Amino acid sequence: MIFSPSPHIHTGRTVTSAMTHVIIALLPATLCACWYFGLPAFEIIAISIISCVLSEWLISRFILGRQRPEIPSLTAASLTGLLLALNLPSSLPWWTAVLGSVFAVGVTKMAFGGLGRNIFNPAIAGRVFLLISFPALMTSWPLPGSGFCASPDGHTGATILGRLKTGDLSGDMLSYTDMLLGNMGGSLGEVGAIAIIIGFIYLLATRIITWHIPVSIIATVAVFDALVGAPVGINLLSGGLLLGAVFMATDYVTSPMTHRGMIIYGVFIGIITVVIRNWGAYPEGMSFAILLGNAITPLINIYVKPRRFAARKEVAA
Amino acid sequence: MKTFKLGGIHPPESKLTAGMPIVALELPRRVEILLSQHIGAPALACVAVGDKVVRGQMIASPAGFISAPVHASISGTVKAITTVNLPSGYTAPAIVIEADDEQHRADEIARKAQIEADAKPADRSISEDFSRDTIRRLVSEAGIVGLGGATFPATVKLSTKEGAEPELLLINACECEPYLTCDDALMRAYASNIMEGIELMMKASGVRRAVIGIERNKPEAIAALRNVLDPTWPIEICPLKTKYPQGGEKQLVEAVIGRRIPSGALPASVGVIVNNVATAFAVYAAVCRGRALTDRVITVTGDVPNRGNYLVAVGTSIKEILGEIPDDCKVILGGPMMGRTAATIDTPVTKGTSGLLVLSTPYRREEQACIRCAGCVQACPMGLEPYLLSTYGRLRMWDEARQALVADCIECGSCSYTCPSSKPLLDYIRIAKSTVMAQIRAEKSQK
Repeated sequence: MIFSPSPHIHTGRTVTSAMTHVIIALLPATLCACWYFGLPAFEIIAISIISCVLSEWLISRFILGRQRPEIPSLTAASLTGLLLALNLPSSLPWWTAVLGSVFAVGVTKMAFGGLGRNIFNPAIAGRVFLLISFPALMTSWPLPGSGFCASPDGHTGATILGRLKTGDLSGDMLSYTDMLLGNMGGSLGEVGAIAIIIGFIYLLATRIITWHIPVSIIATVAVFDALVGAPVGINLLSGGLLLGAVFMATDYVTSPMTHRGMIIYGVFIGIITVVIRNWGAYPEGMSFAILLGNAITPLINIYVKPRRFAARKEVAA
Repeated sequence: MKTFKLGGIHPPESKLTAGMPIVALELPRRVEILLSQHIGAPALACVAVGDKVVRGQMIASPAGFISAPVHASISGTVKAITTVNLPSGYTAPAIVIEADDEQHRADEIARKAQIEADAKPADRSISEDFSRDTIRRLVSEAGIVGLGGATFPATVKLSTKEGAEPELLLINACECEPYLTCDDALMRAYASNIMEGIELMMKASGVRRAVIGIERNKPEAIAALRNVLDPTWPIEICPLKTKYPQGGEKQLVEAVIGRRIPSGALPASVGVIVNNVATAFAVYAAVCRGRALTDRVITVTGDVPNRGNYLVAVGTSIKEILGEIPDDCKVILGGPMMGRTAATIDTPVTKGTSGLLVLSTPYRREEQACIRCAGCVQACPMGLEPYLLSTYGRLRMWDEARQALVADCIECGSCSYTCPSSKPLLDYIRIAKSTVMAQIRAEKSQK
């Protein structure tokens, strides 16, 4: 007879299944990227995923000395690889993507103890590492071709946020339709608002995430932008805002544990994003904002407690 | 649809035995009746080895205010007063009775007649003249305890101070645990008697209004209760959204009247007394039919062939009910969320046994790293942080655990149920909670 404490049933949900749901939710954005940027996009995605998984496995096998590969960690690593790739321009040389992956998994995650112990979002940290190390490569954006086999030698240009920053408003401005469908320059996964929103709905429907973080980020950016007179529509639909709000800021490990904490975190990220986009040196501030949000998460967890069932009288047992 | 606000989960309901009628199991030839079938002081045996006893006769008397008498559930001879196995693996004193053939057959016939009589609408004239004290005395003498599982002596709850009566009697008919259907079956069969029991309880406690809190996944029971409810009675049926742990006292009170019981306090602090629906039926049987609590309805469910809702004599061996159980199974007393596994099935049914659940596929998986998904925080109905409490328990950080309100945990298991990393969160929280509660008790006794 088996003897064990209660409860005796379980949801059946696992770390691996949660990670798999996020990967599924990223599929529309991934397909969108491959459609607009063609083969190079596919290469970057494949290289990032493979190098993230390999880094994870090599480190856990030879440095941490774990004999068996752990499926949840490997699934998490492939998610990190996919997210990192979606944050890179398709014109990036392959070795840069490898370097970013090794940094993301090796330094940001494994150096802190592996799955569940990292302070910063690995994919974002990998991207920021590359952005600071190779600013030129990281800010040259191929304009999307049309169709799956877009030319790898296609035009490059600044993103719409970059043009807003430098005041270069000559030429065609993008229409909202282009931005919604992703017909614009940018990192792989940040083009195509609709694809990301489909992923968001999937994550909400499968209860992988709650609305608190994405909605508070997006609402904060919208309100703050409107207050300072920045173009709200462009700021919401272009750049890494949606991708970051839905997929990066909601990373379980590096976001707060309570709903109220999540809202504080989201508002904080929104404000930092707008500040950087409007007054900072970079056209894009989402990555930095999320990293700063990650940094204050432990603080939020200490000070923002869940709503308790009942106000506590002095313990009367 | 009303429900409680914080947290909660909705596990698969798995009510495999819903809709099955109550079947009376034949009275056993041998019973082991524990002296401690309730919270409080164990009863004191008042028969000796070799004595002849009859079904319904008191064989152990209450030892104090918070205690309850125990009755023989079969007629026969007291064979021993000895220690018997508890499901936990410990042992406890019990009275062992072996049946006496002739009397046994007579009991069986009398019991059939009782069941038939119960199936008819309650005769409301019997109890009309009973005073508050009479009802309390009858309830007390019948050895009635809370049948939801907590087994708190029923008279204690009914003994309200005159002039300071609570305003509401809340009948807990949630049966929020998956699998269990014994209360459901009882309500479908004996709605009218339950109503009568509720009225008796109101009379005994001086409470003017009663509400039956019932989850809406029991439409037939709700219909049966509505059917017998006279609109002039001060009794109300309150259907609730199906959510676990709604049958928790604090959650139920909040769901029905929107008031929250402060931590460490009793429902009386918000003007409510809570009683299980099966207790109401027992009160009816005791007062109107003069029956001691010797039988109860239990659900036998899960991976066993003989699933069903059974009327079982207290003291029947669980082995006799279930038959042989393979070694790689779990036998759970109660539901799958809060029930306890039996270390042995060579142990008797008690007044608090609500179900026997056999699970052949225990879930416990290998534990993974916490990914801080906050699922446990969102599931906790008390607004605690299970991940934190569990870590404190694991690291033996008792002061921190106390600060983080571990004493408020109701051990519902929603956190462990939800955890994608299959962490045994509640196991460690229990360790922390029991240590902190012991500290609190020690401090109180010093004062």
